[in-house]
Amino acid sequence: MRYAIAQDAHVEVWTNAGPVVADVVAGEVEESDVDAAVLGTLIRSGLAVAVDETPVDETPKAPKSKKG
Amino acid sequence: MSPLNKALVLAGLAKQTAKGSLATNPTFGFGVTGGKIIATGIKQGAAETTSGSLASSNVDRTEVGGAMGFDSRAYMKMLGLILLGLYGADTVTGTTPSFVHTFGLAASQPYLSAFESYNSLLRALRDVKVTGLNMKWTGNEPVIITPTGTGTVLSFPTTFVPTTSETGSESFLTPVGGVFQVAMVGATPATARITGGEIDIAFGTTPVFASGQVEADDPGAHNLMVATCKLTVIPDDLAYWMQVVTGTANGTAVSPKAQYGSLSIGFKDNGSTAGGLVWTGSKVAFLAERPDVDPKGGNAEIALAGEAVMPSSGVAPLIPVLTNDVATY
Repeated sequence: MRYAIAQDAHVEVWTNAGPVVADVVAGEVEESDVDAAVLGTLIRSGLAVAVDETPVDETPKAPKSKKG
Repeated sequence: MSPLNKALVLAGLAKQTAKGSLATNPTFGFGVTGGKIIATGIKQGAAETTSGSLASSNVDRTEVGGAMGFDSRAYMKMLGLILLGLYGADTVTGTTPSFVHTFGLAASQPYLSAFESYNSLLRALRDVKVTGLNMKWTGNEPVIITPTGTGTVLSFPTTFVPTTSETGSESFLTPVGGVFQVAMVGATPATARITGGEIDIAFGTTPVFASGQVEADDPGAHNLMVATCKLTVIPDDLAYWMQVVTGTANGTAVSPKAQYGSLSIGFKDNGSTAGGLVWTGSKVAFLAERPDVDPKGGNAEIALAGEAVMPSSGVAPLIPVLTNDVATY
């Protein structure tokens, strides 16, 4: 899943294994490229939003028939 | 020699790189308005053993606990370290000189080192977990904070050289120019005539005293965070009380459910126009006391008491957002 980062941010989040520190840049990121604790913090703070990856149907549509 | 002077006292805080690694010196040093800074709780008592006399012959020392606690003005730099110690997550946006720190409740919290200089007699406590923060204000007097913490090993360092000294700084939180908004029902707080109050975050631990050493092995795992507030309001009507009891300002029956309201309480940095701290809560269950009567007259006051809980997609029950010139902690 991809996420849109609203603005540059520095994140420090403490886990049971210790601190995780990351600088994230505004734009889209792949979920696997960001530490889960950092991404979770960004999501809950509203700075990261899941990008809608629903495929766009680009199949040409048949022209509507005209009456008359 | 002359007696110790109770005013020649400084406190200091630093973030540790890991448990067990006392910081060499404080990152932030500052003066305080009360408290012991580093308290030592010694658990010892006379042994109850029979003998040839009717008096104990032994005293056993079993625990030496270390605690941090003081009252101080809310200096803009050290406050962020206390909030990081309390919440465990800091998301920083913005650029110099105004960095915006949004603190969120993480799975764990950092260990801090607490320092005390009492007439230049130095003490330090390592592995401090912040176990609470009280923030109190009256009218437009400077905000007073009371952070508390539990640590492990007491030591006696030879230096107290803060990286940043906020002693005597003009940058501290003041209600002047702040935001004071509250709603008994709903997530859109409105400006209220608030004359004082307090925000309290309790996040206690029970230190672990392992066999083999009298000092704590660990400050312990946190209990659930309890975020509460008390607000004194001078109202124009009894709408707050009615909303708490019935759910609406003109209700006609008691509500069987707790009502969730919201708040936004903001203070300004006395030393800069950009800095400040804003607390927001979007799921706060309030209680309200009806005003007292007084045959002598005077302004009626309503005491509001709120308990904030975690909203479904929030970072904390009460979220502190601090704006200062510290890039990272």
